[in-house]
Amino acid sequence: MDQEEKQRILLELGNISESFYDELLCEMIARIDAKILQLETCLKNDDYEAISAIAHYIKGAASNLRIISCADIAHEIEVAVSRLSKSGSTVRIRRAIQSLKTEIELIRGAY
Amino acid sequence: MNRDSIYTPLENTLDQHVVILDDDPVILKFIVHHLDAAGYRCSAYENGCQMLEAVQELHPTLFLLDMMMDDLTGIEICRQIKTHEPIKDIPVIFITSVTGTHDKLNAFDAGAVDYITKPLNVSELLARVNAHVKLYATQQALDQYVHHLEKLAQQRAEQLIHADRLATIGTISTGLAHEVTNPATFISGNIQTFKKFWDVVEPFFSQADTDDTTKQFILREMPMLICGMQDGIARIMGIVDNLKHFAARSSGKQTVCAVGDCIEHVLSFCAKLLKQIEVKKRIPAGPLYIVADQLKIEQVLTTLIVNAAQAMEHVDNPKLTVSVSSVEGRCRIIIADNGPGVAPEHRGHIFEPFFTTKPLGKGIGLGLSIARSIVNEHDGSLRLCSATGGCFELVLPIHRVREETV
Repeated sequence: MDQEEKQRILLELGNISESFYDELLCEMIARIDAKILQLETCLKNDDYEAISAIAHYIKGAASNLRIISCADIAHEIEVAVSRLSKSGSTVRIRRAIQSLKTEIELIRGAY
Repeated sequence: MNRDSIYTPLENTLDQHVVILDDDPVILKFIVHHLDAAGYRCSAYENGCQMLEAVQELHPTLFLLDMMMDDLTGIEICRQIKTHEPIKDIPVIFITSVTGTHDKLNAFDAGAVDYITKPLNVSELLARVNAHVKLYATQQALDQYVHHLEKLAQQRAEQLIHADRLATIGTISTGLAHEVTNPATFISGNIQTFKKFWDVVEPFFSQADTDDTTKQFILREMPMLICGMQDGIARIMGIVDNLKHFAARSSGKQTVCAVGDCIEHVLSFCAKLLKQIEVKKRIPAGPLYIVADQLKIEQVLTTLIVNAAQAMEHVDNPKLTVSVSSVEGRCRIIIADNGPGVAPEHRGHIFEPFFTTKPLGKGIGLGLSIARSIVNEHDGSLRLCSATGGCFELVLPIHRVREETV
């Protein structure tokens, strides 16, 4: 995220300060870290309903801070779960969870 | 975006307490940050059960609820709020990333007043919160006003019943006055006859050949007894006359009348009430005439004098001053007392119908409003004109032609 993009987000979030945004982002990343672990556990247990709820949470949390990349991946997980009954394959879900982990690492690295 | 523009100040937001429920601490912190900047007091909860337990003590003015929670859903919490009497009217707004029409309808069905979708737009959030807080405050003010009006209506109903009783007493008084007049006239005539008889008998009685103390006593006391009876019956006739005059229905016809006579008549009618009060009259030697419905003008003067007398009930050396003067072609009557006067907060209301500071049963608050409407009918004015003590100024047009011809 370049500086210009960040300034746009700060403005969109009600002109909050950069330090306050970073504080919120840090907390959000920590929460998503925990949620990714829950996603992996649920996937092992075939608890797709819980996966959908967790993905929904991540989508909301990320989009509130305008981390659209994360929100999109979380939405992908939701869609993959909803289509599971047709395809029967969990590959898309696994891939999306992996992408989410990578994206979070990228964001963590940037801050 | 100008930072100030999203925090449009709402009056007394510090009195407004917003309770926010969201299982995401990040979003909670974000919302609290903005509401706090807008001047709201905030309480944030991540758990619905904890919030419901604490809500009794919080006295919130608005709830912001997340829809999807770990324990209870926002809908369930909203339903609980809406069934709990002390908080059921407090507005609930949902803040959620659930955007389906069905979910929105469920939220409104549960009692929500609004529905904001995530990701949040801060300006929209604040605008909606402000609008609902204001609406709730207005609703509460209206409820209080309705309650006040209901109490007032009940009070007015009691006053009207009292007024109706007074009117009935007025009607009875007219009949009663008529009934009393006949025997009083009979007694008055008999006393005169008795006096004449006594004048004839008294010389014989005094020359009688007895010299006992009883005779002496009768001779001494009898003239005083006759005099006392004459005075007594004259007073009864006077009271009855006044009562008949006061209770008589106004003809509505305006005639030329002397202001001094009206005042004397009212002072005589109120004589008993003014017994302990020093009354000073400043009435010009030459008569001042007005064209008026005399009974109505006397009703106005009676109201002012009775009010003055009642205002001086607890005053040492009570004094009532009635002054009449001619000012720029108008007759100016001042009725002043040395009572406590009208409290500043009441000064603007004393001419309003049913406004009274007297205890129930002592007055219904119609006297001054009726007095002013009567004075207005006569092209005059009636106003309170002193800061200390009670002082009313009644101004009426002088009847010049009559003045010249009389």
